[in-house]
Amino acid sequence: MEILDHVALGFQTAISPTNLWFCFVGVFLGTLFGALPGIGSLAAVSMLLPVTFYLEPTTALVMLAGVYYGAEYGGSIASILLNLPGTPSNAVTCLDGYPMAQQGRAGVALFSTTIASFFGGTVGIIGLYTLAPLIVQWALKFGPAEYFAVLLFGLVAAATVTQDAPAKGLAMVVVGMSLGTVGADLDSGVTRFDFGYFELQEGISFIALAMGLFGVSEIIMSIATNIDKPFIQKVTFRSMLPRRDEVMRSPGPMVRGAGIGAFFGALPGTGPSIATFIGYAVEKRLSKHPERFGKGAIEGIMSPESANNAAVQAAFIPTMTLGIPGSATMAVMMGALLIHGISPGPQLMGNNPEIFWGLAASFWIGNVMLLVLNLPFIGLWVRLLQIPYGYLYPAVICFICIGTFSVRASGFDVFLVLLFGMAGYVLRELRFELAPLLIGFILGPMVEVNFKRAMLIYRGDIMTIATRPIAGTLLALTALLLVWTVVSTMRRRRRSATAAS
Amino acid sequence: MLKVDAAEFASGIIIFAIGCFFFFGAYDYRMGTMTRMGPGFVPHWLGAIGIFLGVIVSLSALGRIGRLPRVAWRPVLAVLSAIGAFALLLRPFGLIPAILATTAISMLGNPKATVLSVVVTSALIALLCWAIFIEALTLPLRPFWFGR
Repeated sequence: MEILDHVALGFQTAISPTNLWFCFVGVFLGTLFGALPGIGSLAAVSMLLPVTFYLEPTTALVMLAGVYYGAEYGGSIASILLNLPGTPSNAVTCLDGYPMAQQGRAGVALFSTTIASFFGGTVGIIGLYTLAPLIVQWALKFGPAEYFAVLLFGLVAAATVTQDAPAKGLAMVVVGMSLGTVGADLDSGVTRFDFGYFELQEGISFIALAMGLFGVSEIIMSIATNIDKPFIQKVTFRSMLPRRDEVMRSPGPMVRGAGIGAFFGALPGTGPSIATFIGYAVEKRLSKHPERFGKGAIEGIMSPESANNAAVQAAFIPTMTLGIPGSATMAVMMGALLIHGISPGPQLMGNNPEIFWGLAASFWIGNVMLLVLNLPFIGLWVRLLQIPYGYLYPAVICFICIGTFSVRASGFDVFLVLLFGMAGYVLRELRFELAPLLIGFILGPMVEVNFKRAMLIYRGDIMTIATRPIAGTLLALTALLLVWTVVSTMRRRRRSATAAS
Repeated sequence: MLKVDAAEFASGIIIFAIGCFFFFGAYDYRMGTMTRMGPGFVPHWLGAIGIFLGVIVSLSALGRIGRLPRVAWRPVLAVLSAIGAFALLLRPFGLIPAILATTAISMLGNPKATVLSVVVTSALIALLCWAIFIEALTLPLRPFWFGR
């Protein structure tokens, strides 16, 4: 079987001592940064990106990927113990994880999320193994029209799927895409909206954008609300064992979460955060006792964490097969590939099989390492979080500044962090979701390039895109999604209006 | 009286303003035709969509009641000036002075921080950053304004 050859080749690459070591370094640092509230996987990956310049491309990728999914594992620790999401996609875990900790069941919550994460990660990896080769075969036939349609679908899905106010979500995507036009136009080379700053000619540094929007705004919000941290209980090995009824209630949410995660992770644009929200919502709807949710229901942590890690692994599918990063962190990873002279896309699997399959194999090894890091050594991470937040956040700010600066050795980018931090804080206070903005920013330039190319090929006739089978189907799905969003929002508004009067 | 959700209305105005910026700003660049689009085309129409969505969000704020959120000025100012200090101090003075200043300023956001705790935390974080970023990760950063 071909797939077994791939697995064998992958493990051969991943098992080399160097790759094993850097895989470990990656997942260890990832868990560390993920556990600190305010630094998500994005900040962690960008901070460590310059370090990997000196490594072999495969090794560099293995390490950065380890940081990425390690951070998602670690992020749940802060969610459960402090009610502060370690990374944005762990936010949902707070809803039931923190009440569990308040009831003295933090150990159970940590144990269960680790198991769920491992399970979700494994499902995501299996998805990567089986789906990626199929998608590559399709993707080789993709033209600009198809790319445009895929991107558009991803953007609309990212903006509307979990939103209470879809118009605001769409607006964030559009703002992100607009910010993405800053810098040199890829066609004509004309520099747009640079305000006379030399630094803006290459475009806005998206690491600065992401660190400001997510990192800085998160810190400001956390200081304002959480400066007095609750006492953190000790987590002993024995306290981690779940009750019998909890064991019985866990597998369903875990399996459904993994499926949801793998699906939404594989779509470009809809990353882990959206998968976790949907996983939680589905469990709440399916449950016979939805009133238990928010008060420490184990289903409420199993499903999102499983979905989160499945989505993280599945997010590599669009990145590696289409060259479309599924999330902001994946965009940094793609940047790392490009720096090493490897362009991700349909050709990657054929031209550099050892990179593709080696990376996939290292994911699974990394997930096993994380199981070890998170179960016997959980006390280490708990102790880290016992440092009061008032002393922790200055360090996080320093890490963000150094991380942003070191990517382009640019003080200007640090000022951008300041600017976007302010913007992110205002937008969050006004109840905007920020993830769609970042997705729009990353995918925007790709949408523009492919739209222009498609129009050139079809002589300016937009309708031609709709007549191509794959592109047309995707556009129809996008339109359907928009119509459904409008209808369901109107209905909800009318219901709340009648309830109010 | 007219009922308005102030936060929602402000959200709409912000989107509207950003849309206007790109819609009108794009006139500085060539628009081109549908077949051969110039650099101004895409930002122009993105701006148009932004204006449209801004109007929708503003209109949806009518008929509901809501208030503007309160700004937590102290943490906002402390965190933002700490980042500004880092950007200004890193090149002329090196990593350690920049970190000391950034930490000390950011801790002003915590009303409970004492002078002693600020001094100790700043020193510890500076030491940590030096160990991680200069010694372990060997990033090309100068520790001080003198030396290498």
